[in-house]
Amino acid sequence: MDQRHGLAEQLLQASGGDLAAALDAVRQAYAPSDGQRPAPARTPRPAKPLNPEIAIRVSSLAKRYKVGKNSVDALAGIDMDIHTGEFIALTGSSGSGKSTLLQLMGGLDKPTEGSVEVFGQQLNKLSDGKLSTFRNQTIGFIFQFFYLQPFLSVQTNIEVPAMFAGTKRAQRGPRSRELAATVGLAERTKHLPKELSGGQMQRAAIARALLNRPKLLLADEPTGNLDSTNAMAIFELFRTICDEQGTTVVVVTHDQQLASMADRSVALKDGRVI
Amino acid sequence: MSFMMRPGDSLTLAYTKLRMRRIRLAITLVVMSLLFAGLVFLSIVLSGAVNSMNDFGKEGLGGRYIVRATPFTYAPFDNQKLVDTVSGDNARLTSQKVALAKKYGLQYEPQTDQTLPLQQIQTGPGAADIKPMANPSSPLVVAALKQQNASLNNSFQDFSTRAQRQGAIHTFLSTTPDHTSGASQYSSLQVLKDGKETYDSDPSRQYDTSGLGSITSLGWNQMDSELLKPFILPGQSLAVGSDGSIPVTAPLSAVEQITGITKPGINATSKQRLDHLVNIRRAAAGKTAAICYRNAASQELLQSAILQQKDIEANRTKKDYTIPALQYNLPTTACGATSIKKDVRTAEDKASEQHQKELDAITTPQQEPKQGIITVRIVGITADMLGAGDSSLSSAGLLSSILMTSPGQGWMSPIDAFKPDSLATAAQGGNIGERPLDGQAFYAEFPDLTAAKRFIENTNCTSASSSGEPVPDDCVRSGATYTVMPFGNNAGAIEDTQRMAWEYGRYVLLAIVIIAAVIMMGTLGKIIADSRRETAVFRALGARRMHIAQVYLTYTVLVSLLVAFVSFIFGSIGAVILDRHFSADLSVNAVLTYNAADVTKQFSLYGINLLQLGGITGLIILTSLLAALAPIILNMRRNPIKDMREE
Repeated sequence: MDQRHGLAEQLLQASGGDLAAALDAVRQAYAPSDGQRPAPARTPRPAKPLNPEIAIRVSSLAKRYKVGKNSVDALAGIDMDIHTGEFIALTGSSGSGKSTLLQLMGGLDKPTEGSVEVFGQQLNKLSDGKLSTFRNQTIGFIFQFFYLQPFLSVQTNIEVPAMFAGTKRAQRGPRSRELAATVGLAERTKHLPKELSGGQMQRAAIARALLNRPKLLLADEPTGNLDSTNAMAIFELFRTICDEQGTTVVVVTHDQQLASMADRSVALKDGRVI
Repeated sequence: MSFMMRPGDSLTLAYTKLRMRRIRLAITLVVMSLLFAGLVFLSIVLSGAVNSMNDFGKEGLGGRYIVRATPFTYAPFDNQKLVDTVSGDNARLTSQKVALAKKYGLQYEPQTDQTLPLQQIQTGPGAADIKPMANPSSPLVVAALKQQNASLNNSFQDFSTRAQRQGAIHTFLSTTPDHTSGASQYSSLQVLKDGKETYDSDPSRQYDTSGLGSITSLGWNQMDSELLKPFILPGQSLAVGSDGSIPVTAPLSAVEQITGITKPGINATSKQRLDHLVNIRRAAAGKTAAICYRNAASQELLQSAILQQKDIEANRTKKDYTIPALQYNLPTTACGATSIKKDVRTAEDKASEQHQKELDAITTPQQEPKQGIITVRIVGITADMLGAGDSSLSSAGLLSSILMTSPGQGWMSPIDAFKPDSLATAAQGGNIGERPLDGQAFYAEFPDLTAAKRFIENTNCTSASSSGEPVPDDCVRSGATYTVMPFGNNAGAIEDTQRMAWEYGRYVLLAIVIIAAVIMMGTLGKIIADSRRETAVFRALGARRMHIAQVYLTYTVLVSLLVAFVSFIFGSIGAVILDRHFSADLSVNAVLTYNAADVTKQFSLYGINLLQLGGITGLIILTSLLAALAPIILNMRRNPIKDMREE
């Protein structure tokens, strides 16, 4: 078992299941320390018992883009099942189709062929309004460039999905503060994004994605803009969220080492699973 | 999940947009605000003026519902019917004159005779362009014109009957003599300064609209005493004085000259202006002035005498100069008669002149020179005419012309102060019944505004005249041959002003709205285009298309409110500057125009009408929302992932 993950679990047990306290401890353990702390050696994760429930079913999925007069097959027939509570890393080189696959899983785009079923819901059969509600309530999105609102405080940024859900300020306030604490930004809730580091910004974005208690977390290269230590911490966070809350996590990454922290890696090449 | 976001949340997200593209937004804000500031400015100035008018309106005729009508009349020019009517007489008189000239051996050319009823006027370059036209100085033409006008049935009597049928409680009459045409042509009126008559023949003095010359240029009007009553100074009466003096209200600039009190300078403070007003009111009340009236014959004789004297002066020393056989003396007293100094003409010369007079008398009735002093007594002060006097812009004239609340401009006396066939009546162009219709104005008083407005609608001729006819056929058929306007009543006048403002203002308004919409569309289009990635992120976080639209609509309303606020600041600054510049002058003149008892009353051009300002804000919001619609709809229909990829 990964030493740090082990430490997190131990701390979690010690803190009586308090996720925030546990993650604080994780953060302390992994806090960047001027490069003094050597990156620990990684060992393969033991296989986790699979939940039989299917979270995402991708069937014969194809996506073709038009680039000028030519068309490009971003995805060329993909079949895949992802189980509830699974932590999946989608890997592959640039242009392999991993981001496209993630976007189709989130219903942000429509497939050219095939279908995506998320928690039993065929996404391409939903109206735009229902799909929006589905995304808002069931899916949390995380992006490489964080995409926080530059003139809103960290706490308000975290609350944006609740604004679309129509949740009252009084109801979402405790939740957003709790999540800020969970991701280690308890002291930064009033700050603007520009006052945060890259890692902190991404943690704020993760808190935002978690606000409506989604069953599925989709992250598109979430560590692409972070140094290795922060990248590791973010993946640890995903790991913890997946393990503790049973959230299904799908992360697109280039980094094989980070991908190894997932339950399963799915590699794509030229729009196909290899 | 609700269809719409909570207003507070959409406000939060919209507010962040205000901080994007700040320079572009600032430019848009300033340009749009400048556009709408014009409307705000107009609203503030008009509201201020309306409030002040209402305040002053409790004075003068403000509380009464009076309309003023001027009857349409046929003009002597381009009037073929008139030419046809007098052509027979013209031929008869011409042959009479030719025969008489032949009998006496006098030289006579009908083509150069300017007293014949018809004059051959060259209207173009060719020989065929010589056309006969009626001569307005000819008594025959005046009589024929009167006959022609009678067919319009719009005399004061006709007007009174019409008005009373429509609920008028009183009708009144005023007349303005015309010293430049008709029977009173060449007669003169001169207010004597320090009891002296001046023989200044400078014609420009006649058109001086301020000072003593205004009696000629603006006229000495006769008006029903009922209409003049509210405008007389405290303690004054409209009855003829025991000394025979005729009561008169005169323009401020004339009263200043009569009393010898000089007007404060342009830079005078409002206190100085008010002091001046108080002083002049006190000094003028009951003060008499002498007006010299000379009929056309007297004026002609005097002018001949003046010219003769100048001629003798200039040529006296020349060897071959012969002093005229008939020599005149200039009057020895002010407004006196021109007498003969020396008459050494031969019997033959005298007979020849007698023959010439006989010849002239065929077309021009012989008139004995008549002159004399008319004593007038100042009982009221009226505002000067627009552009008159030494102020940069006569605000009183402006006020009077907008409101028509003063009884009129120029000099005014009550009709019943003029005894028939008196010198004063002669100065007015003769007895009332003998005067032509043009120059007359009729008034009708109604019990309420509705009745007055209804009368205006029914009686005001708005049709355009056709086929060169001076009076539109439609109006002749319906008997509405008058131009009717509210008179002396603020409500009617304000409404009229607002209607006119709307008449012309709506095009300006439309232009403002279109320009503002284009600017707003550009700015919003750019800001929305710049926010494509953000829209994509919002969509990924579960925003419905409606939520996105809501954020941008809220943003648009926010920008509109900012525009409204800045417009208000700009408009207010403009109004304050205007008010500072004109308020003192306007206050003084409003006191005059309304004959306000309290001279310290202020006329302000700054007033807030919340309804109007709300309306302008609504218009700004509406314009912006219309402009924002297309960019927002385009943005709603975009594919978020495509936008995110392109970013």
